[in-house]
Amino acid sequence: MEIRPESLLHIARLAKIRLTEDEVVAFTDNLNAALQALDTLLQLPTESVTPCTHAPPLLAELANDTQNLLREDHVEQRLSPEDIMRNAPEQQDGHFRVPKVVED
Amino acid sequence: MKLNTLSITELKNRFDAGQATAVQATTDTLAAIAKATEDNSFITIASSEKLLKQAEQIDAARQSGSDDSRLTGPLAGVPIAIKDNICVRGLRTTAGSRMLENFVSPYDATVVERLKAAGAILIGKTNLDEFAMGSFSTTSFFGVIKNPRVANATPGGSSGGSAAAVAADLCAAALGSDTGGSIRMPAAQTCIVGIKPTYGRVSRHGLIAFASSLDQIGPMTKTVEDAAILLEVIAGHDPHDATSSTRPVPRFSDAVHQGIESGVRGMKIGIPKEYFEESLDIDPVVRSQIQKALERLETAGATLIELSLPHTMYATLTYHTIAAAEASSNLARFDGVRFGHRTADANTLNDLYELSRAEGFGTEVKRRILLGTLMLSTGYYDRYFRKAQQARNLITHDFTRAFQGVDIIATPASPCSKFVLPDANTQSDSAFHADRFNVACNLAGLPAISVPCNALTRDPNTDQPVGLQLIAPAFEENRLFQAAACLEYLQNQSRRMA
Repeated sequence: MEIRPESLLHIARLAKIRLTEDEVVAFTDNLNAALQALDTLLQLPTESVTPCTHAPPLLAELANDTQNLLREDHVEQRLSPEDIMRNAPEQQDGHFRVPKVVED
Repeated sequence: MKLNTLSITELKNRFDAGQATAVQATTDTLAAIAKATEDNSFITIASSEKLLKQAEQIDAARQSGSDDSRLTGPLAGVPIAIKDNICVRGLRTTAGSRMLENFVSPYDATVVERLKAAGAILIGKTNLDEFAMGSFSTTSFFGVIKNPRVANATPGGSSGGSAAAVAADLCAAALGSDTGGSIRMPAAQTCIVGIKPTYGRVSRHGLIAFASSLDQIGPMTKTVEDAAILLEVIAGHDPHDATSSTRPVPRFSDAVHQGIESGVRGMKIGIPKEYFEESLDIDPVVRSQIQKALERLETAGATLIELSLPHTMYATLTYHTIAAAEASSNLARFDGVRFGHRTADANTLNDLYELSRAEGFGTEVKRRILLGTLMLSTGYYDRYFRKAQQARNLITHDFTRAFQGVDIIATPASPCSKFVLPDANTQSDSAFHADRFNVACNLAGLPAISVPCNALTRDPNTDQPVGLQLIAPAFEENRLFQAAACLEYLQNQSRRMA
């Protein structure tokens, strides 16, 4: 499988990263090299192997108990709104400010 | 005697004997940091005024016999450095990225809360590969880190700043994080001790997430006993991290004493042939020193058993696929809206996202986000990501099977004894090989420690650090501490005799 610069651009749009033309060329090459290396992995026979979806020790812990970790749902305030807003790049009246999203 | 050169245990002994004060320890450490700026180990140093005030309170409490753990706890007065992807309230937490250049954490990570509750003096935040993505400490927005132990070499990565700070005595000990070797590999490169605990042993709350099914925080220290002491403080269940285990935390320092007093009698140590193959391009000094370390453990009562972990060759590819996929998802939160870098040039919301991320992330981080996004996209998910998840199960089963016959497994912690400051063009490729002995433990979630196994003369022009990696079954860190302490003790003894 090989990707072309157009598909790389599509991936970059999904990842919300604007790329320069040089970056498109470099990352296309780099990802193609990565895909080529992955050919080795594709040759591994995995028929009937279950995919591992969590860190294995966690799965083992859950298997001994219930399948879900549950806790009481109660309200607590760990951070004040002021603490949370302190790192906001732009804010207004206690809200995060973003460019206009609705057309006139 | 400058107090910054001491281990946690040595420092505590002096405090208890009234031969040293927290103020002296803090002063000596700050002075050493001020002199050693060339290695670029730290991104942020905490306010010396505040640190000294805390140290004064600790000294006063020791005099008056206070029972406030923040002043008299197991780490009272001990200077500890924190990798800069772990949040400390009121300090900048950058993750080595322009994206978080000005981010001041509004809260403490759970590990930091626990260090504070134990009386630790949090001296500063250490430099790292950007978002912990890298193996050579070369991708940080705040510049390359140098290895204080080896001339013209990097300390490895990504916890390179923590490793360098411990090795150069700029703290008594440090915290690092390990997603695919980022504690153990730099520990080996700088001749210090580094342990990646079992997945779930330590809370990840407040660690800036890279790959959530692989990340663990762990100690980086001057001695095995220090690693045990530090892990006892930071380990244990945390309601703010649902993946943290509710198992009780054993007294790891008891295992250390057992290793020193009774060695490793009866312990079966597995030697996986896949980690020693001729074709692997392992540094000859690494081979010979590992061999010597294993012989030492044998004389202390261990039995060495050759075994096979047949899926080892797939570990690196599996790791890179899963880690990139998880990173692409985790790093979606950096959008220029709530915190972090925000572009000055956006007219639309989409511009704001795309440009803020383009400007805020470095090349290696962008590369991994793109690779991860690709791996999770239609067509690629089934072909590659699912395959990697299956391979992860096979790799985990290799270990499960192996641990039916042995207690721990021993391998080199790194194939190289030093990383000469690398050429930027070859970085991704060599990083691929640098972590090859480390990543399988993260995939299987197993605990692993790196112990230095050759004597250094402290001459950066000739020293060749080598680390032995020991791996145990999940939640059996005690076995690692016992064997590592035994080895450390035997090495110190033979050095004394020489």
